[in-house]
Amino acid sequence: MVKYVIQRLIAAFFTFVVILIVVFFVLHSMPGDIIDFSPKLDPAIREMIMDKYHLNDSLIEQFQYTMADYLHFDFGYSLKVRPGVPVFQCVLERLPVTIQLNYFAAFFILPFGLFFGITMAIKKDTIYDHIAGSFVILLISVPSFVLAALMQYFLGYKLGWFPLVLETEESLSWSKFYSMILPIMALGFGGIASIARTLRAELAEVLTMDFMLLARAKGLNYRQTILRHALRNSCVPLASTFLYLFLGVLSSSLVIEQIFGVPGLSKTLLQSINGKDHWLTMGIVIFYVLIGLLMAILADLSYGVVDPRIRMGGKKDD
Amino acid sequence: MTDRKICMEDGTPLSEELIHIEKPEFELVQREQEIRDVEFKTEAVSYGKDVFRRFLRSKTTVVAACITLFIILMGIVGPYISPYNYLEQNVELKNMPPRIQGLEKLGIFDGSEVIEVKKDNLSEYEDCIIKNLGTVTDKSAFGTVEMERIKINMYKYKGADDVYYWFGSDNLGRDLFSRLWQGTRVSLILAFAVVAINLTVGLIVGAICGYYGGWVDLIIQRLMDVIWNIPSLPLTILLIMLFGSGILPLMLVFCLTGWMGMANGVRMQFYRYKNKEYVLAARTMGASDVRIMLRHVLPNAVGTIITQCALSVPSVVFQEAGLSYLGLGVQAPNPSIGMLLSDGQKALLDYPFMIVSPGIVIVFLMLAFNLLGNGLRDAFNPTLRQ
Amino acid sequence: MKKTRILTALILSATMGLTACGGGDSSKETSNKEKSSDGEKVLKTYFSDTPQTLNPHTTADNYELLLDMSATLYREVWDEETGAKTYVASLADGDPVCNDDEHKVWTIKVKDGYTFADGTEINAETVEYSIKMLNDPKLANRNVNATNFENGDAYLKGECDWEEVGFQAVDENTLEVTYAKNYEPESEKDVKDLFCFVGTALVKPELYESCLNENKTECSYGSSLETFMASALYEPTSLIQGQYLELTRRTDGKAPLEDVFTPDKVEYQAITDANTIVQMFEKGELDAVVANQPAYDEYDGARYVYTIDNYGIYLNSETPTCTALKDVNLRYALYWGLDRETVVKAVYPTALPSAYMYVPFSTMPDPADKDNKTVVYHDTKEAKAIRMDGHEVTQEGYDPDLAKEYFDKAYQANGNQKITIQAIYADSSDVTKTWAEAIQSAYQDLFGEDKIAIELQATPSAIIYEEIARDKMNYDMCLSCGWGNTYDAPWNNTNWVYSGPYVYNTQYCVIADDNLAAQWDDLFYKCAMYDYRWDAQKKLEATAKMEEILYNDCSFIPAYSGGSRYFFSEKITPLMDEGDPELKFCLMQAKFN
Repeated sequence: MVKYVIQRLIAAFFTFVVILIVVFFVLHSMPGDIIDFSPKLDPAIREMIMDKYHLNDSLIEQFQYTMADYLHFDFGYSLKVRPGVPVFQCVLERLPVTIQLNYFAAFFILPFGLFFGITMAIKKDTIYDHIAGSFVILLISVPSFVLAALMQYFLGYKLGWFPLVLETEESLSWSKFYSMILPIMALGFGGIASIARTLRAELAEVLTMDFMLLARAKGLNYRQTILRHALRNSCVPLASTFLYLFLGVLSSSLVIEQIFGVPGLSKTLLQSINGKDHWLTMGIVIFYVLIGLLMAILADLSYGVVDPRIRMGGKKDD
Repeated sequence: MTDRKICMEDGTPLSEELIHIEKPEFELVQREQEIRDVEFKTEAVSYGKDVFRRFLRSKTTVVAACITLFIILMGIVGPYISPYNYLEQNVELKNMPPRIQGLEKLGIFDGSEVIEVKKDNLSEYEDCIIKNLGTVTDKSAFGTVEMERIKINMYKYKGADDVYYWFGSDNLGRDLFSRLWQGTRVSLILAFAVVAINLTVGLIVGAICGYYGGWVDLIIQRLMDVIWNIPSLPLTILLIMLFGSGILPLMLVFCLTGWMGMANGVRMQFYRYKNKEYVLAARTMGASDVRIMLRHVLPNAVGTIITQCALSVPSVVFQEAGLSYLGLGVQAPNPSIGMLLSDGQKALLDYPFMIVSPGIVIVFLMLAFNLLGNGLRDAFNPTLRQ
Repeated sequence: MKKTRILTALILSATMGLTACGGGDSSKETSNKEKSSDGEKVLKTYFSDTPQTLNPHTTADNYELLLDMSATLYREVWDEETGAKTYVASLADGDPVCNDDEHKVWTIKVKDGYTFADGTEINAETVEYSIKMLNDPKLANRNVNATNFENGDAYLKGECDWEEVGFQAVDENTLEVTYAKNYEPESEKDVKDLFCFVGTALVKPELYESCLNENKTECSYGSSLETFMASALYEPTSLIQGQYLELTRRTDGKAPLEDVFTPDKVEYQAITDANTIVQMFEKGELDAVVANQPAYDEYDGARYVYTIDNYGIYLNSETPTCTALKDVNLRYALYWGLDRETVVKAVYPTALPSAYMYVPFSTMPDPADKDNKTVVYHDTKEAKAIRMDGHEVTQEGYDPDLAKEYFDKAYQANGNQKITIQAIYADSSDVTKTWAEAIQSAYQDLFGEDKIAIELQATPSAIIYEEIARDKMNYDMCLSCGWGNTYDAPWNNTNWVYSGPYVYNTQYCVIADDNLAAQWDDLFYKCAMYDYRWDAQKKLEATAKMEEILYNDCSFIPAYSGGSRYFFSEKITPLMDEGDPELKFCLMQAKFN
């Protein structure tokens, strides 16, 4: 097991380096100036600034400089979006809200998703299955921006139950959490549907298997058979779905951020791409990539933890 | 008359003489006797017929298939039904509510809009008022105003009594009905093309990875890791900067990242089934790798493949909707469902009808493909044979 | 079950960790959510994003906001009595005084008694330090202005010391400004204008020094609340990046312009979604809002403001992909064939359609009146005498028959082949998309779809300005760019006094013909720096000639000036009915009811 984890970590490291190279070259081959020179700036000064950032060198040399800096954990400075501020600080500023939002969204998804998934699988092909199934599918067939706008309008504006935008406090107090509820729901609905659907499919298949009958014959009641035996078997895709969901929620909440005024990373990413603020873009992309790789490793490990039969990379049965 | 030599396994004959067995000496025993056994009630059916039967048995799946076919059909002929072209602009008649000839007598789809006007301006709307809903005191940050809430026939007010926009018109006065079906056509073509490419590539890669395992699997997995982890939003923007906006960069983006889901699913199934006994048996009988993959292992994965395909189609439409919201969708003035949805969301507070029709289409599309996917998976699953 | 217990414990501790983590910028006051006491005037407004930086030397936007926090010598504010903008002395004591006939050397006095928010004294040397660091050659700040001063150019190149530059503090309260040749201000108004630009705002010397990096090439002043010190009336007390900014009025009595600005506290929220903004306004969470949606047509209390930018269509006559554009007749046809009233109003209901090369409310110094009066440019007889290929120009600029005439000529010259033009536009918002679609339809309907085809191509807004720049010119037609005008010098796109003469034609192509461009540049420099500067009549004639060149070359088709509709809550009343293009509605001076 440990050997497997180490193998995966090494592989992840190589992947990370390859991604860095690809992203760097793609970003720097975008047309246009990185620095926003005002046209009346003296050409000599312009040259000096270009030298400072090594912009006159070839791409390979620039890449070497960047990599050398990264080894010292110097991620460069933002040039356009937050001039003069180190990239590390820019990312760190936006992280708390982003992580809080996604963390709570994940924990909103889990119980509801499990509940719907299990109940729909148990009562498969009944009225409940059809209705709940359609409701769940409805949640994912409406794009997130529509859902977010509708929720803000009806629950925030018309009924006044929730504030319209995120509270402007820094620490997580009760009122701030309350103002987070709408964005959490908007982020979470898609995830609930995804988990419920996967769980229903897998669980339904598992319920038809022979060992379920054996478990009942042994004397366990219905609830125990489901919880102890069936769930464990259907968790294989569930664990990975859940982990990828966490990642997806982290990165695709741009629309939610716009509508609810959440100062998150997605908006900064868009700004830095549009403003050709390459160091900041690289910084944010690195963050997402690291999380993604971490999730992938955890997902692979979860396969092994949950289902011993598919312990890939574990003991080879020679 | 048959001459045979009876031999042992290694070929050494039991006896040196040829044994003659006359044909009439053969007596088949079972044919005349009665078999006291259960009668075969069923007939042998082919796999295809089996699938089709199971398919028909589930009502929801049939309904879902019908809805899908209907939407596809409307995508083909829809834009031609209405007398208005999907490109024709008429800025005088922008943002008109829906109006359908037959139903307007019933009070719905009658091209009416509820607006609030000042009492002094009431005379302007004289002959167009359908119903006066009374005075309303608006107490908002805009100040406290007393307005008359009236329901007017918008078409009459704009002097276009003979014009019928079935689903209303958009912000440049284009007929939403034609745009909706034209958009469906564009979205579905995009989705089917992407799914077809993803299917091909994903199938081949997944099969190779899953079957051979080892080094091949490792390298391709790492490659997939790299592609998977590059965030799609910057990638999309960069591709659009390189190729200009339009269908090509969109397809590139969807295909670059989409085949991996399919490949992963297929690979999973291959891992599960490649060590089964019948595969071993086939290998012993000398079947080639390709034959084993196609004939013995792949059919187990059919369920996953079908479901993945069926669910990919609405997912592509969805992703395209998300990109349209950010302005990165198909090139204007061509519509797509995603573009119509994002335009509708922007006008949600003022003209809610704009989002209703594309919203319903995409909901039905999702529902239909989901149920169809589920149903097809059940249909292709021989273990559910009853 | 042990596993679930461990799992639960993990989850609980993670949750607690998250709730505690809320770090980020520390607010100087923790009570920003307390209910404001009765009588406290709180202004709630919004912007699209928190300012990139609070450093006046490097900022690229949010000028007015930064001016509220860092003081300058003079400030442009709205004067309710005269109903116009005026320059008031902020840190300065009185008007600048000219010491010689050539308007070269000026003296400005600095008032006593003003301090930074932490009590540090402000005097002429503080001002000199700020201007010196603004123009520091190693820092290479964006807002440099040393070219205006004597030896400033040399200082920027690093060829001389600061002591030789024409901006020195003679003693604690006096500044002496020596202008460079050809940059002399025409009157004290120009001097005030130079020193009310945000780049000249104060920075606190010790703090600034401590924010410089090792080789003094970068300065992190203004990148957070800790590295910033306010010198004007408002100091920032809370800043949550990307979300919220709070300004609190200083009560120490040592800040300038106390009688001009009214709020006690200003709260800015960063929101971009138009629907959210309006909903918040209706619930009373915002005091001023831009609401262009038609749903608010009927409401009272709307006030309009226009910008002095000129938006329209750029045409590239050198493009290899559409040779028909070389023919000036085609360009004339496109100019006269755009029904601005209908098309612009359909897409931008609050914009001002205009076919003038200079915005409709441009002003010029009045030749008849020496008293610094101005006259509306388009009303003068020089402007009215302009002819475009023999035709009179009007604000409407729509003549379909004339357009078709020109088009037929161009069509024949093109060998009776269908003309295909590829039009690029910025994909930044859906309004630009609607605008592009409307124009496409307008031209194709007027001239016939068999004769002209306009293909739309969305271009990411990040690169569109590079695509149309003079050195690249990778477009046939560009639909969503424009250029700015200045009030008293409509041919200049920024006030040249503090940023140096800046000919727009050098960066983007507004005139295709090289001869005409040379003529235009010549007239420009004469008006901006040389012969015509002091002669209002000659300047007016030259301006008209420049506009005529623009019309006859017709590489830019003007369409509209931007406009917005504002609504204000009952809590405040702005000082003016119609907004000023630069100052908008001066919310910081609004009266609280």
